[in-house]
Amino acid sequence: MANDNSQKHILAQIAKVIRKKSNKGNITKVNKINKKDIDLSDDELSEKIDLFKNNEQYEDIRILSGEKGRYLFSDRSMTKKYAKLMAQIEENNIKDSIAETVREDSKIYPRPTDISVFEKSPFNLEKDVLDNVIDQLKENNKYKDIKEVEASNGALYLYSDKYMEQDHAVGLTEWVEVIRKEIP
Amino acid sequence: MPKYKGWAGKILRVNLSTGNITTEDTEKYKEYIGGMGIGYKVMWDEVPADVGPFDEENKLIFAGGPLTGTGAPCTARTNITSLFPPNPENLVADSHMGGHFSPEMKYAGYDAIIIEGKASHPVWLRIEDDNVSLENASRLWGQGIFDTSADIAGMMGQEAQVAAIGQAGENQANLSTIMTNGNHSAGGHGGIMGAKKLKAIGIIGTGSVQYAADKEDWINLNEHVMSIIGANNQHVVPSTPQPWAEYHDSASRWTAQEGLYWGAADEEVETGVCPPEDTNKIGYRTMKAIKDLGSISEDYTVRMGGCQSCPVRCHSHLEVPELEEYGESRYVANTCMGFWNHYYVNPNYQTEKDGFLTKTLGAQLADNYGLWFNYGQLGRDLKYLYENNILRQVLPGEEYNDIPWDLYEKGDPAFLKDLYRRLAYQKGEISHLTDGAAKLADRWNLGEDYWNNSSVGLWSPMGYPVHHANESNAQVGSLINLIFNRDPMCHSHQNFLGSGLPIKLQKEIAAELWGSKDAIDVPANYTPMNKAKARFAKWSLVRNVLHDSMTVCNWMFPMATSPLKDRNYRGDTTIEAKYFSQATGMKVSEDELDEMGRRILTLHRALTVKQMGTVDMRNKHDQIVDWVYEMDPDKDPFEAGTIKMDREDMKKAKTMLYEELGWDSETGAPTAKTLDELGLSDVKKELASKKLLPSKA
Repeated sequence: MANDNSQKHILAQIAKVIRKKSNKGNITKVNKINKKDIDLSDDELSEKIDLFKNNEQYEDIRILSGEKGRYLFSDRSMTKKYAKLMAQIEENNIKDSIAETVREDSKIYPRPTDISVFEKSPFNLEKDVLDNVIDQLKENNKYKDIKEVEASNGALYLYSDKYMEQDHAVGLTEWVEVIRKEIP
Repeated sequence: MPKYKGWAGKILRVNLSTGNITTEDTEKYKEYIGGMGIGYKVMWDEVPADVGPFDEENKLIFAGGPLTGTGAPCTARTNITSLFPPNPENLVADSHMGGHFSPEMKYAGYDAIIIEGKASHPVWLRIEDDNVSLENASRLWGQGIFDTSADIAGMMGQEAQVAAIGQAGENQANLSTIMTNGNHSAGGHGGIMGAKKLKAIGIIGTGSVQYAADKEDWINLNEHVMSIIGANNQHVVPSTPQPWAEYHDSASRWTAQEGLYWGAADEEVETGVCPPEDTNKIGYRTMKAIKDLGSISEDYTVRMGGCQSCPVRCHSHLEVPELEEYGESRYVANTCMGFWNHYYVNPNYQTEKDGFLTKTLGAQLADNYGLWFNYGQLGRDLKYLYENNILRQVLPGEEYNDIPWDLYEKGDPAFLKDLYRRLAYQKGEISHLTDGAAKLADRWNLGEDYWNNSSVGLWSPMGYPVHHANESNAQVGSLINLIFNRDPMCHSHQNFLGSGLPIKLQKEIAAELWGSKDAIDVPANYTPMNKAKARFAKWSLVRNVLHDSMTVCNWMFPMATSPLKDRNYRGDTTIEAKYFSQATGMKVSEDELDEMGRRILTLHRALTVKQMGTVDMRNKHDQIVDWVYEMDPDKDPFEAGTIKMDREDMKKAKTMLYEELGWDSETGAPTAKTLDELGLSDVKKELASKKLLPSKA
């Protein structure tokens, strides 16, 4: 009984930390839960995390597997999509985060992606870093669907030719960058 | 109107020729709601078809509606109706302004002010509840709008709300404004006040607007609206990826984000992350400054401002010390085209800073002079005429050489100082730039190349430019842009199309509202006309005139979408009917209110038929310039990547819209049957007497 209570208490403590961080727009990497908050070893912590699954009391607590670890977030204040993006940023997987953003934009809205988006939150890339990443995308077969397109005012956009024809991308870029901005 | 609430119950009529000031019951205008509806009814009943805009017989109607002044969100618009000087045939049109003017008018006890006649000397109209007087404005005449407004507030008290004209209006420039609160302007009607020698109207109202509903119901409805409201233009997703949002769109005006500040506030204010449920932060959602003026504006933004009773603050208030180097105040405020107009007038600026100064200096000068730019057209006209050496031909040599074209070529903002003075004082031939595009083309004999040049941007032979037309959902935007006698100022469709939601969700909502997901196309990948598009166009037009009649801001309503995932991003299109019912006590359904909107739109159409003296609206009025059909020569209409339209398809589109509205499918004029159905039998009778009913109808 004492163990049960202790376990419930620990889960409640972890959930409190996760919810608080999610509320501030941050995900929580499992092995980075502050030891001052939760006094458990990494292995013990990892075991406890699995107890969130199928637990009605914590149905908002989500576990996300990144390439370099597991992450936790509360979907009361954070979407899964944003959590995944934060995990990619945490793991410095900028190429994937850009490529996936571009693919989703081309697929669901559809629209080409203004590269200046990546200079803003939550990407916050410096211009030279961004330019460098875009160059790397061009050289990597994994991102061969990501193409560049330029508006008449010189603004650079990206699109995925998996989801958008080139002709459409060219016209849509002009529509997004020039026509829509100049007819506010 | 003892039976109904919402309306103040009285209309103020001021005859400037005789000095007579009278009031009348609003009851006779009830079926026309208010605002635009009252304006059209007065114009129909009282202004003969052959009157010119600056004639003594023309009238000018300032009107609110039953929602104005109730405190319901986004309900402070003022609608102004009169003949429209920039229109080549001076056809009736509306101009609109936000601010606090019409709520104050309601608190003073008036739903509308009808100005008629012409004063023998400059006057201003002083309204303090029942005490109404015409005051001598000789000392104010010649002043700009800022000083005039301050002087009147000095005489009446700082709580006075003032609508005034500047030098452009006094000198009867066709492109001139009536302005309130220093940066809320109604374009195109300033010259009519000038012709009537009416410098300004100052109002203090100490009454209130009563609503009919139970207090709790009213508060619940307000809270419902606050729960589904988005950012400016009802954009419902943020402009950057944010924790709470499934979707984002860099074009969204929901700009609030971490690290974005009102940087010139006494203490910096971070807009921060503003999730939809935090309704106390709605005012931070839209930082329009960075949309209109670029990221440079962050350091100059003091705060965001806007209209009475609106939680969405869409006007940027800035402190720009550099404006003092041009002899202007450092404090400037405006939004949207109020800034963008000057980008078109001074397009050659070399640096981001000069672009910023062009827009802010231009706003400061134009707002004081009361200049209007026909949605950016004046600047595009100037560029075309200069670059094609036409100005060198049409301007006298001495005048041409006196204009500092070196500043224009360098993109120096100081060019605006020189040009705007000439325009406001109507000095020289160059001042005809303010005639309006159609009258300008006529005067300077501008030909096909001017009209059919997409970079000039004219959209209608009536002389107004592209404004959410074929670029906004093909036939839908195009149809909306055909019907009025100026650019339509319609955002019903634009708010929906620009919501920022994925196309699948938008199409689902479109199917629910207009019967088919085919009501909307993927941008720049259009499909041929269909019935759902006609329904969407009709709905957009009807809601537009309803909003300008009730008055409700058409930059926020209708709320077809919301930022709420738990509503699956659905908005609520019944809100307007609920507000109307609760405010007035006159219970109407959504469909019934839309029918009232159709009545007002049809009255507008009848006015146009009467003024033009023809039923052939299809060929004489509802026309589009050629570039819309001829752009992108390598592409056919309905190919991916173009917004080009197809002539035959647009003919079909017109027919389908006319049928939706109950107008004659051949001519586009209102039929006798429809006029009867809508309670416009008196209109039918007059049109019949003038042989202006469609023959088949």
